[in-house]
Amino acid sequence: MKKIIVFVSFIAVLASCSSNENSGSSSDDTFNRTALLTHWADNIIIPAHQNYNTKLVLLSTDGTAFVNNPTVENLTSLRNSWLVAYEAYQQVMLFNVGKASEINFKETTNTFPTDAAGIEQNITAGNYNLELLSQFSKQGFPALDYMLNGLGNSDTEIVSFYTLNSKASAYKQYLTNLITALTTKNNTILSEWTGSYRNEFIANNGTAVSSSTNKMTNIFVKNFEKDIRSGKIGIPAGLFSNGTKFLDKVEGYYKKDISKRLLNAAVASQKDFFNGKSFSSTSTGPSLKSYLDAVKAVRNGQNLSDIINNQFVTIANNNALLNVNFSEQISNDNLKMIEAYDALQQNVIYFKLDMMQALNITIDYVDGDGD
Amino acid sequence: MRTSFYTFSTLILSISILTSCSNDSDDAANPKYEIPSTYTFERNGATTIDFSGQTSRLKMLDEMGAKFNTAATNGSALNVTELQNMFTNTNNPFVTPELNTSGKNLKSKTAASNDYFTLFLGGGSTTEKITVQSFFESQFTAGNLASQGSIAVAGIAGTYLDGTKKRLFAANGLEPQQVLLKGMMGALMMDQICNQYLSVYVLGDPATQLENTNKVLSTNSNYTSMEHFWDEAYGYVYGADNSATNSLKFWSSYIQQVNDDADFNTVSNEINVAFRKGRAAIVANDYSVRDQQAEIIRKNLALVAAVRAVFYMQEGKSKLNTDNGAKAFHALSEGYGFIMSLRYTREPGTDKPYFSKEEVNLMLNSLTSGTNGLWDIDNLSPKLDAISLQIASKFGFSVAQASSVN
Repeated sequence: MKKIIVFVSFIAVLASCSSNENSGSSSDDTFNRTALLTHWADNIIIPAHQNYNTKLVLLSTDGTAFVNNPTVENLTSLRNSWLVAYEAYQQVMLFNVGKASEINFKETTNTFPTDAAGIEQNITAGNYNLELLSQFSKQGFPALDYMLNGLGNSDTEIVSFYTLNSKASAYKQYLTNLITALTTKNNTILSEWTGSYRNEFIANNGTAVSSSTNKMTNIFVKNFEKDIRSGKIGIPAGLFSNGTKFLDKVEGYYKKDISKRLLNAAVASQKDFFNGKSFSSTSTGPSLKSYLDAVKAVRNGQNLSDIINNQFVTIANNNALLNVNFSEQISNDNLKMIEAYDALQQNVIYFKLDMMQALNITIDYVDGDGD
Repeated sequence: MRTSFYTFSTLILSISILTSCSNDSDDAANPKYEIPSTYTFERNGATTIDFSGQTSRLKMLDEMGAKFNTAATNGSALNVTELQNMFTNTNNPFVTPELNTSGKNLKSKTAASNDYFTLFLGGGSTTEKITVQSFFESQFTAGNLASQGSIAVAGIAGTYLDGTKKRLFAANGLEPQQVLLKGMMGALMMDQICNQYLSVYVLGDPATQLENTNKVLSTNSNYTSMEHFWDEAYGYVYGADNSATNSLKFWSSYIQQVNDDADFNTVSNEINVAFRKGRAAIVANDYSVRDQQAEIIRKNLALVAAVRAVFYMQEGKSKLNTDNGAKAFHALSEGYGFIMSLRYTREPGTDKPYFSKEEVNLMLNSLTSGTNGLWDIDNLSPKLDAISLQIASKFGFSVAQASSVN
């Protein structure tokens, strides 16, 4: 299979031939995309990045405290800040538009598995440029996971890398640099959003493939499919490797008990974005859901938006059955991982086939599954 | 570039499909292009046909089947690791060197079609896919247990001397080799043919269709990707045949065997013509004819599976009084695999198989539901008849028509 893309438009046309049991009409698309984009920018994307920034400030503060005084107690505080910031990242990973995409925000922030050997080489060498493509797997939250949880078997042992180790200062420097890199990236993105990009994003309110709505919707689907379904579940569970499992490719591998928490945070963000929930309150605004309702998107007689939200419930139910440690889950009972994957995939299908068709948005990324 | 490309492709596709809404039955009956008398298609003096990947996979499965024969004949233990490696093509497991370097493997294409196992049509899911793959792997272990030197009796895995041929039977009487081979004809071949390469979701992909319409060839190839997809479906039927020795393998062989029965003597020609006509239609950008031929192939392949399933149920029934029933188990195991295949069929005009996964599993469970499975011969006949009738009724033939080749 070279391309499993864009049968969307095809089905749209097929539906016009047959009875419309699967119809999703967009012929009366008078949906106010300006209001949609404004709500996305002002009430979801910018507040989410601001929240992430707040968490990074705490991470930075605790990082400095630890570097100045590497104790088990300070390590514990730093870990906590790291986890809170990692969770906050799950709420912005979806917004890979504009500056974020330009500066490889996702790749530098959350490439896993992290390259522990490469990190050690960097620390030993002392000179490295984290902006390079080859450095993506040596930074971000997964690299911090290694630095805070993976250096030793006990907290005392880990702390010793920052105290007794002959390269202690280099370890401290690398830790500081990792946190700084995260902070810098988000500051760059945030200042762009609070600067000119917000208006630019909203003004691009058309229906072209390059319009903000089309791009964001594609990113929404792609993030769900590639980063959540495949990255967090499918790849470590062996679904892309003929059953060969990768216990070390789970998110939060060294911390061991956070893969589920991060997955839940990411899925919840997707669900909230779909429903147009404001980041800082329970109120909702224009959204993919209200857009689907406006064009009366239905599948087998049921509102597509309801079907998708019901599936989010199924996903949550499946995820609730998972061990907090995905390495253990995969090792002990991989079937639950596969069922979690299936629940996610079902929404991928609703998004890619039904939603995109109903909104008349073309998928702009390609699936690789070569024969 | 991509932007305009997709927009354009959508437009082109829309037009072509809209055309298909109109009454074009005259066009379908009398296409304005030649249907070759053999599956031969050329461009600039060179063939455009390539199904080497399918040929490789069929040969791989053939080699796997031979391992069971060797173990049974020689009284040697069947090597599970070796079969596992053959299933995934790791560690150069094949005698034929080209297979080792083919870059292909069986497992990743087992219960893995786009329509059923990515789009979850026809009740499919990743969970099912993984379960099916594991089921086939369990046949390696079952074969190994049967190859430890015991004679097969009720509840004991072992060998059975069937005339002059030794066979390996699991404790429940099923023959792991036949379950593997016939089952893979469904989960690999039927599924890939009907739900991958003949699928409108795959062939009708806008980018694929636009490339074919403009005859944009695949990289380093003499074919468009759509032509190639069609060839891949063809290859899963005929890809391991050897015309020089008149040897037919897998579906091709069973199409012929069913066709030898006067009750079904159009099936071979219908499938063969449909493959040629559909391929010619692709060359001529006639997508409605293409899709009609795909439906013909799906319908007839499913019929072959159904007729063979009933045939083997009835053949088994007729042999239950020999060797405590063991004489019947080879046929019943073949039938078991053909019933499995029904789950991967595609009923024309729908997105689902003739028999759902649940219906198929009920039939299979019924077969082995007795004490020690098939060995429960006193209670087996009514089950065989019920399954036969259920399948025959669905396809509109009689059990009698399928139960003998005449």
